[in-house]
Amino acid sequence: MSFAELTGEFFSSLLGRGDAAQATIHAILGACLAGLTCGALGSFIILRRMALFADMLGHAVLPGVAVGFILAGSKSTPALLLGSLAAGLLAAVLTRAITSYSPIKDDASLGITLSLFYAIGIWLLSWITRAGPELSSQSSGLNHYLFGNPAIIQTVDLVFLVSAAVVVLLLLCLFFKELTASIFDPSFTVSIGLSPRFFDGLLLVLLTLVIVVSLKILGVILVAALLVIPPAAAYLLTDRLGRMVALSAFLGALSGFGGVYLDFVFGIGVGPAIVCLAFLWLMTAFLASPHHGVLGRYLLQKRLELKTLRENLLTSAWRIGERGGELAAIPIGELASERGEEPSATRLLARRMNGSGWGRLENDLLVLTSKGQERARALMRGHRLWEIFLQREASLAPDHVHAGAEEIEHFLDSETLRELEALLDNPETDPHGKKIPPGHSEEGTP
Amino acid sequence: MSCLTLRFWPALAATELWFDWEIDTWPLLMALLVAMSCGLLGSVFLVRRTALLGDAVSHSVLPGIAGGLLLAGLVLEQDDHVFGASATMLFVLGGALAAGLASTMLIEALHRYSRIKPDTALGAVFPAFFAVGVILIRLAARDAHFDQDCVFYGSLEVIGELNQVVPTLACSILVVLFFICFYKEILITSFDSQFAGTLGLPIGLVNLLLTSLLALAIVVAFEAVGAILVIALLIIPAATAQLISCRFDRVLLLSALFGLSAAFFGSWMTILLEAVGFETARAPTVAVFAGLQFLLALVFSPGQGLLAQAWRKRALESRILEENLLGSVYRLAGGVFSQRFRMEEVAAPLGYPPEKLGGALRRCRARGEVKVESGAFSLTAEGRERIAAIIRGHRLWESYMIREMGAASDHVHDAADHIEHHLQPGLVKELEELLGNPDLDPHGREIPAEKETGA
Repeated sequence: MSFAELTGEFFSSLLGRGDAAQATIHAILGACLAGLTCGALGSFIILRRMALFADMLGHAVLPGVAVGFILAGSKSTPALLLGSLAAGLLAAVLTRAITSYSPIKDDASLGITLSLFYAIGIWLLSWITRAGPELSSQSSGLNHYLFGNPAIIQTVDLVFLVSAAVVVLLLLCLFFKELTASIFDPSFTVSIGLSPRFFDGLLLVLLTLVIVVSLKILGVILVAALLVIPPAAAYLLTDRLGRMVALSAFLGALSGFGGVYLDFVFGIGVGPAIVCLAFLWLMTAFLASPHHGVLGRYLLQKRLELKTLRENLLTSAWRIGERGGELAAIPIGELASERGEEPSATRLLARRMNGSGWGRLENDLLVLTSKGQERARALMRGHRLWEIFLQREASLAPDHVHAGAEEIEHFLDSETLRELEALLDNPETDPHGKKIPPGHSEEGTP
Repeated sequence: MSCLTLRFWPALAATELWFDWEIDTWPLLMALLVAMSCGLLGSVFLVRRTALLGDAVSHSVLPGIAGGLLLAGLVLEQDDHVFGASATMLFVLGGALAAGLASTMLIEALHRYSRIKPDTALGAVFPAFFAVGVILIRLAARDAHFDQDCVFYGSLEVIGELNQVVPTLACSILVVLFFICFYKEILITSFDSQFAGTLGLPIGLVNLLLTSLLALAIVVAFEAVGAILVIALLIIPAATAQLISCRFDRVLLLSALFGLSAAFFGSWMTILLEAVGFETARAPTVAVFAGLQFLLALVFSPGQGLLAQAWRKRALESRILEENLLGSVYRLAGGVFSQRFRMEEVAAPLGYPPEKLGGALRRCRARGEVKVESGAFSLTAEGRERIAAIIRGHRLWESYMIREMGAASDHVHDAADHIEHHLQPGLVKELEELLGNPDLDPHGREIPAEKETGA
């Protein structure tokens, strides 16, 4: 079937009846719920720096699945869930014990528990799949716990997923303030009488719960991805924790839905598809997030560069004005010789003044508006005050202060300027004997 | 080979409790080689506190391996060896190295160019790579002759000829040669990279070689133990070695040794378990055996083990009880050491129930530090000598706290009570010199001289 036909079939099965449609709907519900819960909880996990811990727990629940299966003798969902819950908590305790009672460091002890529990799980599974017909006939499908497969989601799994989602979201809402405090300011949490260990414990239990109910969809190796990747994307998109949790839950659920769809159409496996989609959101946020993305920061830097360039033209113009030139309209040639450039280069730069509101290039003259002249005055004033400051307070030689002032003049705001004035007693000339422009234009334009 | 077995293990060779060398030679050799090179490499990353790099690389080379397989299937004519010394292996190696490199660069970029923390970047990138790998593996498995369960279980069992071991053998030789040639560089860059820089050692080159060897070892281990179990062989033997020794050269050797023993005994365990009707895959058994060794070392290691720690704690507690007992008698005697005291009298100032000191009294008596007559006891000359040194430390410490730390004279006793059991003779001497050999402590009591000379 073609791509379009499969897509059509996928969406029509959402409305349809019958076993196949039922399975698809179950898969979608399961994947969305898992994505939602993992995304919401994951925000707290990555902020609490527990991302690798979550990864460890994901691998470490495997022996619990196997032991639950062996004890129950069948793939009964509650037995497997209980087994993996126990294995996850045991792994957490072992990790803590190794770091407390031996010279082995945190990261290594995570690696040890992860690989040890995973090895035990795989070892038991390898036995189960080889162990005679009575056990292995039941066991087909246990491998789904490795890769994950929502096609095997049944109503009972959905019930567990819904309950876990309700419990997790309820507790997160209930303890939102306390969790926020314990993440961002642990010592404050202690000072108001809350125990950070309690919240670490709470996160640990919720984490294990979420991993355990999501196992069937994502598998042991990929389950942690949904706890780390959507929150990381949300972290790049917003600065507020509440929004981050909501956004990350949304991205998680979206990945869940998209993953089931991609698997339906291309047959690439739901778990891997969900993770790849989530990673796509992360990469998008990494590149294009307005404030924290690479592209956004690049644009910001470009804007800053343009502003610096324009401001440097303004200060050059001011120096010419000081020597008696007409500040409102300065010939490019004069500006170029002031700056030690070829006139053509200066002309190119001056053209970039257009659109700044400070001035523009007209008939080979740099025409400055009154706003531009005002900005030039403020820049020059900041520059020279800073030179005095460096000389007096940082004891630099008069011929060493120019470079520092040249850089900082673009970033001095009016408040810092006032502080500098007060500190330096409103000096009138800079270390080179040049006049410092007064703060207000009425007092004289050169 | 089988003739050797017959000579040394006549009883075992007769049953199925020992290796059948016709079948088991190559799987065992493969396991030994993989475990040894992983053990050596893993210990370097462990002492560098980058143990999880192996975790990350092992997950993220999967798309490279699968991509290499797919590409080889497209480019090459029918190739009967998926792994082993074949042209396919070159594609797989190239793909894996590229994927490993790409993932480390992506992790680096994520936390360098955004506010994502390094651990989150690590935890986000390698599952994503693994997911891509799983998708590619699925596509590769459609072309048959590739068993996707191998990703998880490894397939030591199917290794049946020398050709399949050749890449692993080559990799192991490379690893060993690297460690022999660059031992000094590895040692210094691992513990003090700044110092290594001042010596002009090629830090960047050593690190690059180490990481490339790690990726190489993980790829050649892929067929033997799968993508994830290799982490166990990278981290666990190294951590076991670290529990036994603190010296880098010993950690390296022990780690390789623990890897080898896990491979050998793990393989043997599979055979034994099969004999009792418990059939398992070989690679996870090797990993579980490595874990078993770790847990044993965690409990029984002579220096760092839980038992040794508990033993040391117990010894310290009994020494403190003895010293408190002797100290209480010394203070009660007030200089007249022939006086005898009952246990209740001695225990009261310490706030202990008398039974608590029973063991301490027995030990002191056995050592001839107290003399017991008709239910009461007094200090002997040996006992006096031992406790005088402690009291001396105690009273010097009190003086020190008051003079140098400005503590009030009624606040220093408890602190001195704690520290008196831990003061070394050298420190006591230093205190004495600092305080100008005082005779009396701040409470006006005599500080015993260095050697007690009679009552």
